[in-house]
Amino acid sequence: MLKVALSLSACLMVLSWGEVVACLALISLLFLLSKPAGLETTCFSFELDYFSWALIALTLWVTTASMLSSTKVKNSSKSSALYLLVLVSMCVSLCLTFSVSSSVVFYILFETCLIPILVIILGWGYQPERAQAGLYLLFYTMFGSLPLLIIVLHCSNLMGSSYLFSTGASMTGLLSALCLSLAFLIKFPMYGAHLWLLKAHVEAPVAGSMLLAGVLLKLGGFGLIRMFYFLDYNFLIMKELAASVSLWGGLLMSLNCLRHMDMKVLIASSSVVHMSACVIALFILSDWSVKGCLLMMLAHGVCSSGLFSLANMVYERTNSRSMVVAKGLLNITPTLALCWFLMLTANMAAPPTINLSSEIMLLISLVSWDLITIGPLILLGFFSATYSLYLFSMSQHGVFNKTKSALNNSSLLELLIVFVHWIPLNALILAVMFMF
Amino acid sequence: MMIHPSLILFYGFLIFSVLLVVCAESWFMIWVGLEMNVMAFIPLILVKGNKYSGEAGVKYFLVQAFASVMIMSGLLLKSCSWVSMECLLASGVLLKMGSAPFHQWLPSLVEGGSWGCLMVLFVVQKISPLVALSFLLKDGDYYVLVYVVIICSTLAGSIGGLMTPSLRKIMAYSSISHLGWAISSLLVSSLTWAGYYFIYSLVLFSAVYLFNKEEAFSLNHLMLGDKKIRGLMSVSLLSLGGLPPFSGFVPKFLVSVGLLQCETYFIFVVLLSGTFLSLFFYMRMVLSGLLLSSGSSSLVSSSWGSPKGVWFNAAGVLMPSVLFFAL
Amino acid sequence: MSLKTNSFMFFSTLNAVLAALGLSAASWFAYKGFTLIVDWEIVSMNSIYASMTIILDWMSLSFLSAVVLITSAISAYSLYYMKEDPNKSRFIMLLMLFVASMLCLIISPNLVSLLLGWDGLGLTSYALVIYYQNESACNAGMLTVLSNRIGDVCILLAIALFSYAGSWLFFSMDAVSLPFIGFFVGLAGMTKSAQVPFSAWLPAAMAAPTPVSALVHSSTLVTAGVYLLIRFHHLLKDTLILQLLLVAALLTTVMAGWGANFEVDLKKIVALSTLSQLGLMMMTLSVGMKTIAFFHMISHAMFKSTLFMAAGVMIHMSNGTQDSRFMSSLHHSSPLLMGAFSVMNMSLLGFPFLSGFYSKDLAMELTFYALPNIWLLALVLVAAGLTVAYSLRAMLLAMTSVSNTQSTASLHDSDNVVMVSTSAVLLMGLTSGYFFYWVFLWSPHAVILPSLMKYSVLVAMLMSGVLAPLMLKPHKVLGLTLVKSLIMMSGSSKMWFLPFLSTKYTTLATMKVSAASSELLDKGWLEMYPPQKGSSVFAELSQWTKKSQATLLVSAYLMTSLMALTFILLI
Repeated sequence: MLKVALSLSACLMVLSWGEVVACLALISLLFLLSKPAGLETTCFSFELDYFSWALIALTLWVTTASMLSSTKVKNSSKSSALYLLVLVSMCVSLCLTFSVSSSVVFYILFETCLIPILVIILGWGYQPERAQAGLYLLFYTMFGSLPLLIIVLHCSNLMGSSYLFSTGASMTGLLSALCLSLAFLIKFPMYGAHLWLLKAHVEAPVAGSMLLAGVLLKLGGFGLIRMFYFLDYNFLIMKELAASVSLWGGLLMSLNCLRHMDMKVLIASSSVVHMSACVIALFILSDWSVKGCLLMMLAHGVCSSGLFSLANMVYERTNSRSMVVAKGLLNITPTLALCWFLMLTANMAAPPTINLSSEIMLLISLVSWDLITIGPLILLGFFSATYSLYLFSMSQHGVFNKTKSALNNSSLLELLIVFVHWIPLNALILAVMFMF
Repeated sequence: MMIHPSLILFYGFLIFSVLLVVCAESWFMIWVGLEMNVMAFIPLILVKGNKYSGEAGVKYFLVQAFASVMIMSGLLLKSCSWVSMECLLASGVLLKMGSAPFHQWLPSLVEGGSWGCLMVLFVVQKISPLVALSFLLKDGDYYVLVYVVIICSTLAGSIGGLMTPSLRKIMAYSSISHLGWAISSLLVSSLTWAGYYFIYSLVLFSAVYLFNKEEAFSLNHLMLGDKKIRGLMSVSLLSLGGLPPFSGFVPKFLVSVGLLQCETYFIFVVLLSGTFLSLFFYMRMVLSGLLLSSGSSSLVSSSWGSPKGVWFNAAGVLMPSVLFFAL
Repeated sequence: MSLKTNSFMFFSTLNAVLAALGLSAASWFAYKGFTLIVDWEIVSMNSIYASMTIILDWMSLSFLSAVVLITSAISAYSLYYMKEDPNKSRFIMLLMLFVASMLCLIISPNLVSLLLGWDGLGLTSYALVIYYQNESACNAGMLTVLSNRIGDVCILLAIALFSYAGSWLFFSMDAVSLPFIGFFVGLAGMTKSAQVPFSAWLPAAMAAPTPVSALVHSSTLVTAGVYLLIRFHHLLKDTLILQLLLVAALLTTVMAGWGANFEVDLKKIVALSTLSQLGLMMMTLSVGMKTIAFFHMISHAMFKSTLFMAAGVMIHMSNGTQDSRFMSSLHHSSPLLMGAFSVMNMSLLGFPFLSGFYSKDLAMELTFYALPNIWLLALVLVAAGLTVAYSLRAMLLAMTSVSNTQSTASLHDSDNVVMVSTSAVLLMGLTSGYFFYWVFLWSPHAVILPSLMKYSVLVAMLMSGVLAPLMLKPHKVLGLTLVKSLIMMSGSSKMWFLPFLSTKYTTLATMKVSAASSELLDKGWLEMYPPQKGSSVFAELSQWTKKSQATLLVSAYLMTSLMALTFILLI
């Protein structure tokens, strides 16, 4: 961890695109090797367990990929150094958030992660609507985090320390459960609090979208896992409420996906669907469900980040996110179409991706929690494939627009980006247990 | 800018009067200090010499004089040990600092002042009434009044600033809502108050300093500045809003910890929701600064040195590491 | 030869070699009664054990060799069929991926590792069906992949429910306590094999290039469902699910056979015949004869692939039209090909000593032996008759001497590649029944039936054979009015309106629900209440406080202060 921190600060010092990317890629590989056996203290009050280790690895990986895919910003005159600074600081704050062991500091860092994404959306977004998107982002998340501040301070008051992993459950009752989980449910986002995500994704530049979907949403799951330490088991109503709202909400979101013409909104909605499955799994809180949820977060993080970078590649070619404009791309850019197909099949949890194994784990835990979930789960599984295929069919298949016939096929860098996303999804299936 | 010699006198007088109140041992000395304070501040308002500042000066004088009357009569009648008279004294002090529901004069007055004068109004002028209030809190039974004042200040401050385009009014309302935090920090301990007030005034200074530099008085002006300045301004404003990684969060955090130790949850919840609301007007200012592509960046190309106030805000980012050792 | 051509030949050779190896291994395994299982742990947690498993026994090896044999023939055949296509290499890669997923499915006895092949089949078949960039291909692809997705979801849920067993190996599961599991497995098999409520996709998938259809319909995609149920048969034994499956299978057979008699699109006729044969396999399976069902699956694969390859050439020769009314007297122009076509059709209807005879006759008689219900028996008879009718009709359509062909059609006995590849599968189609019977079905089946039952099949087949030519002009034969015959024709040739039911109304319902959810929730309550209403309420409050600032009088401000003070004191 110390090594990671040091090299990240080195990144901050250097602040030049090539070096930073190389350094991050190197760290992420090194980091993968140093998996903690249990709960390991790394330095000061940073502690790693498998959950935070996996999420930090995800952060490093997605940040590297997002830097690779924002070459357009790099080559434009629009404050590219500042952009890099924001990305690196985001990476640093995320890594710290995932590894810190004090609840109060965790809260502060959790909020810190909000600032870089806000800056990215407001500073490098596409349309003037990004102001609204930024406001939604800030206010939805702040709304949840204020009760969290109260309860975190209260907890550390009661327990005499703000150590995250103390086992004694000190909070009881519905209100404290609500306060503890609200911020994270909004961050996830659970259905009902998801509007900010769609707006933010539409307006965010590519790296923003990738990081937002890839890592920031995972803060919600991470936070919930950590905060459940503080709760005793008297939050059944909360559990059932969250599970059912997420289940039906996920279904509705997957239906909504079928109505979108905007690629980015569709991908963003699909992350709401996936995250709703994670919410249920976390509230069930069995061994399978928690590990399945972690795996789902990893899989979805990499996969949706890859999809966003692909959407950006299309955007850079056609200057539109609409699937009406980007039609029949298979005829013009067959290699990119293959990339789309691979990423989308990963998104719909086709084998041999870890998306599938995570989905199986979640299904197992849900079905063994309550058989009644089978009904919605059938529909959810069906429609989550439907919208992925819909996206592929609408954007890649068909007769292409003749004015677009001068598009170039993929560049080597773009293939590298897709490769970087595709490899972990498919390679990790060989060693799923490695992640736990 | 040349500083008129008389200004040095008035500033010195002002600071002396504040020190007088802080070190006072009797209510009479406090009253004297407060009066001196008013007398020293009015010339500072008038320094611009136009009719707006004149109007502001008169308003300030009238309000403060009325407050002094309340304090004086409250003091004199205190010996009768009427509870209502003690409240009169307290509300005189509260009127002097402009906390809600005694705040109506403040937003209307600020339109006449320069940023420098407003900085003094928002920071220095509130020290002595706050200290006086802390004396009152030591022995008196004012908790109902103080609670009402805290709630009113927080909510009125944060709601009032939502829709106004004038930066000075927004800052006035922001100062009212911060007053709610300051008074509640008095409930915790004087030390907390001192810490809160010190950091808060530095954060406020970093924002106001930039406004002063840019001569920005309305939301539209914020769009015109240099990219770098706009970025730094956004950081200061978010810090003032109390977003966690910035320094502005630190004083709020101190007060929060204190309040929770006193188990005053209700006040804490109100304060937090006030902060939540007031974040909106800070965001309005930030938006005009952060939307990088809008606005022409070269209108005001000032040769502009290293912004000291802003480094202070950036230091807040390091706060978590400081807190490791604190907690 | 270019690289692209080479790749076709390379895969053809590779598959041929594999087929030879597989067949000999299958015979050896069958002889020795030997089974090889390879197991690789993926996840092992809380006493649940998920693994990648490979099983090699006579069943998987013989099926595998049949698949690769057909693939070998078809990849050579595609060299002819896709000659002028610009994306040849994409085609052959997709085709090979498709076959590879089928092989994965065949060799995995584990529900989890089976998914690799199962999902892979669905996806690659989707990519192949939408290979041509037109709208009908797009729609057909959607229908195909989504129907298959129902099966995927069923498998996923079956996996979830099976988790209590601790493992997903099918031979380690004995008693199933949860009734849902069998239901889901059965449903998955039904969707993949296009049984009745889910049959719409199978004729629609004809939008794919013909080599793909040949592969899909003979041995790969549609047989996956049958194969799954064969493997899971012991779980379903003596349950209600098998009875339901029996009814669905019979309905499928009758529906498809009936529809095939009214269809004019040549490829769709063959597709519907596949559907009816699938129904037959499912029927055999559901009365408990899993080995016979497997036997029929293999022999069907052989003759159906030949039929499709011949049909593809016929389509090419008729200028790309698929309408069988534009084909005639093809036996004059290409005798060899039509020879293959007719022999395989005869095999399909169960002509003695062709491969279909061995499997189908056995299947029929064993079904008669096992079936309890007279109505179901009648349906079986009808289905058998219909099979004869549509097979003869297809032959008659292709070989009438009235010249219906377009004037520009170039009729010839096509090139060597086609002839070699077709005759390879033709040979297998002729002999596989005998071979299979000889090598794999050791135990003799003693079927004891009353003579009425024994001959009823033959009678039904002969009768329909006589009636078949008459069915070319059904409205004349049946003496119907124009309107009535139109209604009957449209109903029959539209597969009893199944495609409408499975596309139009489901889509409409889905879109209506999503419209409601997006209008009412996403753009309605969720958008309106927390964010918009919140901001407007506070904006109004702020306006209200702004009004209190309207005056310039200091006395007014002081008055408010005093009022507030009085108010506080009153509290």
